[in-house]
Amino acid sequence: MLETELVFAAAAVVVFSMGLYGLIAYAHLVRKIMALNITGSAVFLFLGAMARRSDAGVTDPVPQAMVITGIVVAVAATAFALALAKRIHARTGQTRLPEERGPR
Amino acid sequence: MQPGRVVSPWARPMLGAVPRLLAATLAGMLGAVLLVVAVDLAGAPPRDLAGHVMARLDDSGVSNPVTAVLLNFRVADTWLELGALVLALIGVVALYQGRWLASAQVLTAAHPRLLARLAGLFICLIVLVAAYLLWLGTHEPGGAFQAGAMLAGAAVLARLAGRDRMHRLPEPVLRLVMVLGFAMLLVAGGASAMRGYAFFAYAPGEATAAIFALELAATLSIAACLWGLYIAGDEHGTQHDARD
Repeated sequence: MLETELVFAAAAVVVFSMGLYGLIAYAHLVRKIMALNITGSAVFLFLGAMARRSDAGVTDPVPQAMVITGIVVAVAATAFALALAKRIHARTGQTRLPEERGPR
Repeated sequence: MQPGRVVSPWARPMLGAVPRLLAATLAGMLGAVLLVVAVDLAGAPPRDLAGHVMARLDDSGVSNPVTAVLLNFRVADTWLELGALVLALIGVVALYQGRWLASAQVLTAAHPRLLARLAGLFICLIVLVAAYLLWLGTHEPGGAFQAGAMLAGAAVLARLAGRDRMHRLPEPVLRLVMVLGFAMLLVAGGASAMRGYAFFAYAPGEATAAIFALELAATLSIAACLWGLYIAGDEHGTQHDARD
């Protein structure tokens, strides 16, 4: 029982680290937004894993509710971020922030 | 758009090798720390939030524990979440300087007739499933978020098939629907406070009806907001931008 939750929690940590790496390493704004979403998904997976280890015989509904709330907020934030990225592209022709350096 | 300066949008600009290595090290180290914390957390005895929820479930007005948390025990979270949705939409509308709906009215592309016919059929089914999910939320997994996402999907399908009629609604009506969930939760919470109950606490015996009404409002708002976020990011919007 506990082992299953540990596997999910460990997977969540690995996915979070991958998302964090992507967020730093890629300059492309869409890639950054995708990386941010990957870290968010990892958090949701972690919450789901933690929700399973409840004594009451049911999956803990509080983390489940947090995930449902979090998904909607993540979608809204992603839509706003994508609109900002499109605006930057329309204005500058660039798909990254002006300060971002590195080879193309 | 300035064609001379546009590189391939699919180019993969990355950091140099050394910063990349640093980023990987940082992410790896943070991951290792998080892993220790996660193992520690998974081994610790749970806080028994589920026990608290199940003990008071009968008082909540619904029999699905997740809906009880979302619409009763922690309804402030849901209220702020609807606020976040509206806030994101306001941000996007501000980016398009209020012309987001104008761009939605440009429907020039030819749409395959099969897609248009099928979309008409599927949209009916999706609306039916959304209504079912909303009703289901009081006693089984389902509820406002699931139903709202389904309705938004139907609206996006209608748009892709050239059958979108949402933008023909007057803009004040659309805006009203978008803030309906947020506003109604605030009014319900305030009304409870005025009648001597805690803010966001339902009066005894009224919880079921109040939750269903608020869920209906939240469903419509979530669907309208997600549709609005999709519409505003439409390619026609960018063409407007280019003429700035």
